[in-house]
Amino acid sequence: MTVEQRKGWAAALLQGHDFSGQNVDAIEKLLGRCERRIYQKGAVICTEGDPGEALFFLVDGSIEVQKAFPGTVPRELAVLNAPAMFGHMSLVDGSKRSATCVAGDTTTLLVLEKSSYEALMEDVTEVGTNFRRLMLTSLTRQLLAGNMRLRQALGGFEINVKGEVISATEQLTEDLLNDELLEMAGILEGWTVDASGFSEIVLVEDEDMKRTRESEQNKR
Amino acid sequence: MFDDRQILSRLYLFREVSSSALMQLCSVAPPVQYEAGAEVFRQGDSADSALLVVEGRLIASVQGSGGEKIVGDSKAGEIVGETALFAKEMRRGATVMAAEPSRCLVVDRQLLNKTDGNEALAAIERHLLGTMARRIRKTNQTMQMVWKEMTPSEPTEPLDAPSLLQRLGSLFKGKL
Repeated sequence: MTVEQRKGWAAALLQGHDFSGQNVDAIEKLLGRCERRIYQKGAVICTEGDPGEALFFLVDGSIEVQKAFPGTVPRELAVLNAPAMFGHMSLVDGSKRSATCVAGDTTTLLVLEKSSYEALMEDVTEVGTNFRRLMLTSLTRQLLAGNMRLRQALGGFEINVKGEVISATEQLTEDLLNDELLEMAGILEGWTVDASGFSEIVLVEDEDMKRTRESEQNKR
Repeated sequence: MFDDRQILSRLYLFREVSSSALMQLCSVAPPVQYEAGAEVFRQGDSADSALLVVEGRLIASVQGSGGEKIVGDSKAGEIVGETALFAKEMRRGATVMAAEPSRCLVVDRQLLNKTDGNEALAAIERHLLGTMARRIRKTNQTMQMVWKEMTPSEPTEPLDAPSLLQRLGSLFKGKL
């Protein structure tokens, strides 16, 4: 991969990310520390529950994100399109992979290994600073979007003075609540940030989700 | 300033940071003193900075429909209001007051730019990442517990809507 190619990807990653001191050249250098890997359609990049030893920059192609809560069948939660960053949560706090990621097309990833990540965390040059702030911008979005979604979910309840639920809107039936929780978990883990986020993410809608959306729209 | 540097050097997050870097941090942003009872942030105000508590204790409260509720406190080494740094047009989600005489380092965009290349700033950024990741994890874990409670196939705990509500409520009261 050429410097020019990396610069293009760096600019795309930074688009819409307003953080202090952002610098395309620094992000280009960051991408230069990654290993380029090409995956064929259907190849599994990481598996939910596995330890995470790397983070990924998606620069070409797409990723299908599948997720399950413990004991459930994995469901397609989102599709990531380039440019996007994913798999970073495992490196930030050592947690296991929160979802399974499968290449949706022939897909190019730039892979940042854990050892490089750790070096970047200590790096006081512009490369380290830009990397940390890119991560902080992403985590801030995850937190804010997750909190907003929770507020919406909570808005479905009415309680009396004793704190007992006196009514819940119909969308909070059990199945739909499960969908909501799964979606919230996805948001918090960085899979489904809105269009101003890292990537244009298309939520894959199943029949239940479609009905919820339509009933919400009708209520408005 | 010597005192400020010394106080900062006692914080765990700065354990490996050189004194010259802490000195530079203090010269650009000397920690601010708050008397007990002083208001630090007010709920609803526009927000563009975070506070690192250096000494003392801050207390956060939220004004809701049921009156004012204390939702959390922050001691030395903890960060408050951090989502304001990397998002636009943020408002304070809680009112924060000094519970006792306190000193705080104000982390704003100006500080981020002025102290580029400073190892103390890198330590603050790592600390911010850890703080946010913990909040994200905590929220997610609570949601998974809620999910388990809501699963009919698990007979251990009956469906308990008020508890669900309380759990969801406790998640973001103090965290916004």
